[in-house]
Amino acid sequence: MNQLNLRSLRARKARLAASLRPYVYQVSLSLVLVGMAVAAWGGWSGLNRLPFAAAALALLGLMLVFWYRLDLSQLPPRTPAASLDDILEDTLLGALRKNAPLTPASAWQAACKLWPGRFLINHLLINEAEVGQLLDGAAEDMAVVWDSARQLAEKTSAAEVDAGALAAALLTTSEAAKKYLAAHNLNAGEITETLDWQARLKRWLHQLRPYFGGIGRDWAAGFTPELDHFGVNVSRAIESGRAGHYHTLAHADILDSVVHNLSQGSGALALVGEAGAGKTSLAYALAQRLLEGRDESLLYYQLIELNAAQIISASGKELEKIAMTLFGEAAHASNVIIFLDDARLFFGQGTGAFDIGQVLMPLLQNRVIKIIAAFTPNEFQSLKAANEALAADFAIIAVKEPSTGVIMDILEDTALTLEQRDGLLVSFQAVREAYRLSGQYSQEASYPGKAISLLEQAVPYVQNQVMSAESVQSAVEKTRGIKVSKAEAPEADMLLHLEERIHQRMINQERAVKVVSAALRRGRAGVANPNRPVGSFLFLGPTGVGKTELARSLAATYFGDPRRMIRLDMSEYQEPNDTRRLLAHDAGAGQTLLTSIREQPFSVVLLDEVEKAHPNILNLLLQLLDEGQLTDESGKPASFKNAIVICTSNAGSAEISQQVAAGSSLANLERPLIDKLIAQEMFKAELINRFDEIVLFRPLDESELARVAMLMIDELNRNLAKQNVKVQLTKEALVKVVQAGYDPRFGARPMRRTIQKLVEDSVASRILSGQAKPGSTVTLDASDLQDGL
Amino acid sequence: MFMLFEFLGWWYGRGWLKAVQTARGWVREVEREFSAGILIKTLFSPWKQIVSLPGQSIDEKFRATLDNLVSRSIGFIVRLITLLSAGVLLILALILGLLLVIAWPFGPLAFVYLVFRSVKG
Repeated sequence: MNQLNLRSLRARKARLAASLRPYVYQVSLSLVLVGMAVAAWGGWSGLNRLPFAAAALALLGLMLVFWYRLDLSQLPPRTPAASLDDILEDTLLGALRKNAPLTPASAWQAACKLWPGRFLINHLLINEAEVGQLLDGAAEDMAVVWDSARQLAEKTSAAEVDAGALAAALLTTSEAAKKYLAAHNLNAGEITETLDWQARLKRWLHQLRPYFGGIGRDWAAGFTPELDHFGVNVSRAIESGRAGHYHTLAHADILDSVVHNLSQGSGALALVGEAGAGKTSLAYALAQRLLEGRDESLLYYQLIELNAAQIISASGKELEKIAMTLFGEAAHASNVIIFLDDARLFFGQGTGAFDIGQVLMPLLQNRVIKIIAAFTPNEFQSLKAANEALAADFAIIAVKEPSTGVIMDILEDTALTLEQRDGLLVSFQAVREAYRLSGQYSQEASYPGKAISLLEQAVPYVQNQVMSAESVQSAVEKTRGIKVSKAEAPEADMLLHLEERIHQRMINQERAVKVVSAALRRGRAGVANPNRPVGSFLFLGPTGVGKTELARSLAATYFGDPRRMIRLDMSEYQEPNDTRRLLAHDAGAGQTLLTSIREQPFSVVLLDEVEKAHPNILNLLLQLLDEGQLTDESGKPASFKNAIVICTSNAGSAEISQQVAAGSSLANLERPLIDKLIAQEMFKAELINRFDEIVLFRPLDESELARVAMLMIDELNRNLAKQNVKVQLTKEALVKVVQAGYDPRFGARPMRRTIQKLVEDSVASRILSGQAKPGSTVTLDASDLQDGL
Repeated sequence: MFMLFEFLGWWYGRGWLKAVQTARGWVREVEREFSAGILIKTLFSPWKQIVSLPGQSIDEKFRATLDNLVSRSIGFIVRLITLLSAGVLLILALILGLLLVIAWPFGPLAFVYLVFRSVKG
């Protein structure tokens, strides 16, 4: 079967077709026109031989074009296939040279010249020349290649082996090419996926033009001037190719159900699914299917989408009258299905909404019109609560997220629409990245909508008209303000020296800074488990030793802004029903943990005094740390997979202080202290075990407090820089500040207030009295600080 | 030479069948574009479904009947003209198709004859 006979009749015809293809129509047409003209002129002039020769040429041109069009240009595969040339696509067969041995390198060259092969290498961003040099096998190696190409063609349900299957086989059978793919972050499965993408496009291009009903269709239906004005005729848009190609396989079973319901006389269907689950594309796919004319009872029906905003802006106070006219036209036309996308706006929910419920209800009950309305589950619940009778008139069709394979197919088809619309090339890597990143960073919406949105957002970031994974990453980074691309040199350098950067804001706590920095490096390098938070830590230690400051430093260093911190005082969650406050998702509940994390998924989540929370809440914490998500009251998950979760506690602080004072190291103290806290039932063992690290903070000594004070003086100097005034403390003044700012119960916490009282007040007096002029340095001694107290 | 025999074999075999299919395709294309089936089915339907609903009084009922008669008449005239145009084109497609199918086997023979005449005069 792997025998390739390039001297077979099919191979010869394929080569002839290949040589004719570039100019057959021009040559034939020229022969026919010139031949006929010369024959006519010769006959009229009474010439003897020339008219016959010219007519012969014209006839030759005519026969040639018939032969090419009806036979040579469409050589079907031969079944049952006796040899490989029987099932090679004619263009590929025509591109193979019969006199030269066929090696992987020459086969690659042939495949890359044809569009199925080009589709593959272009969409995988493969360098044709580089791979060509890697394919150094001999003619004997082609048996394995052809075998693989046949299998790949079968996998993609193709009847023939085309240049795409050959290119894919060459890429996946050569060891050198496999290494090339691995270096470019591609694998064999993804090559097959791209080949399947190409095969689907090929089938779609070759499918027969569907019959849409001709001019009689529109004349048979009613006049719809207002519907044409306020709506978009989706069917016409699809018919003319303006609306792109809709993947009718995406929700094939649901589509069947929609058609069945409409055929059986259901007037109203509610497509209920989360945003992005594909309600709109399902409606568009319905329009496409109706155009194909397969469903006899819905033959020539058209889908018209109504635009709520346009109706409101145009109708003013006559909203009810307009609605009546629109539905009247739809009923009268007898071939209209009205589609209400974002249907809540038509039923009085949300900004700019209006209510057509009362107008619509009698029409639906009498099944006068056909209508499809798209709702999210919450929106449909709200409609049910507001008008149960109206909601009952709708037959509910649940639209759920399709499977991963189907989502990828939809994204690939959408990519082709983008390519056509914006004149660019969307690589497979871009599609894959859109799927991955939208899953990671868009929690609110569903697939495939969120990935499609991301692909569209990436269009402005394409380079040289090619959308790559980097374009998609740039779109995420620019629209969400987070880093998702591979760490570049300056950032990598920052991560590698994270401890130093944190210590610019933090004094001591070496071990705490070290473990936290290591966790961040793991997260940024993609080593950490992606299904858990980036890092999870329990900070134990006395008050005022830098636990919150470290959390703030992390927000500033890792997420780029100290305000990227969600802070909850867990002592406020001591009652069993406080879980509701934590998990509420509705607007009435105010800012809760879940609403905050959805708004700002890239944050440090700081849960202060965690030991004081109710055990129910600690159980939720287990789920958060384990699965990286919490589920709200409506069953919708909120992800913490991009957050750093830090719990703080003062538990064991007295013991830490005693042991440190006695000279013990924190590392030796850690395990016995944790055991003791578990024994005292301050924490459950299962909670402790779920943290990445338990970090002990030790009390600060006098020299460290002095450095904390100096950091605060530096901060003050940054504020004074606008006035070009600088402040500095003498050694004695610094000692005085440290003594005044230290409280054994609160650590360094009173320090900021002390500096305000002692230093800032003195500097303010000097600036106001004119003693501190721009460009001067105010040096404060201990005696100067006396006045301020 | 091999390809010449292959060409002749195709021309008088599958090629001729393809010519028949092509001719049929032309006829079908005209029928599809004009959707003659729908036009015939809806020949007497009101134009664009424009109809008047009858009122209560005899006068209103009479007016509605008259309006509907006008609407149906317009529909009938437009559809009839379209059907007649479609009929003309259909006949043209049929004639061309028949010519193609009938003239097809004479193609190579005519070519040989023309070459012969161009040599011999």
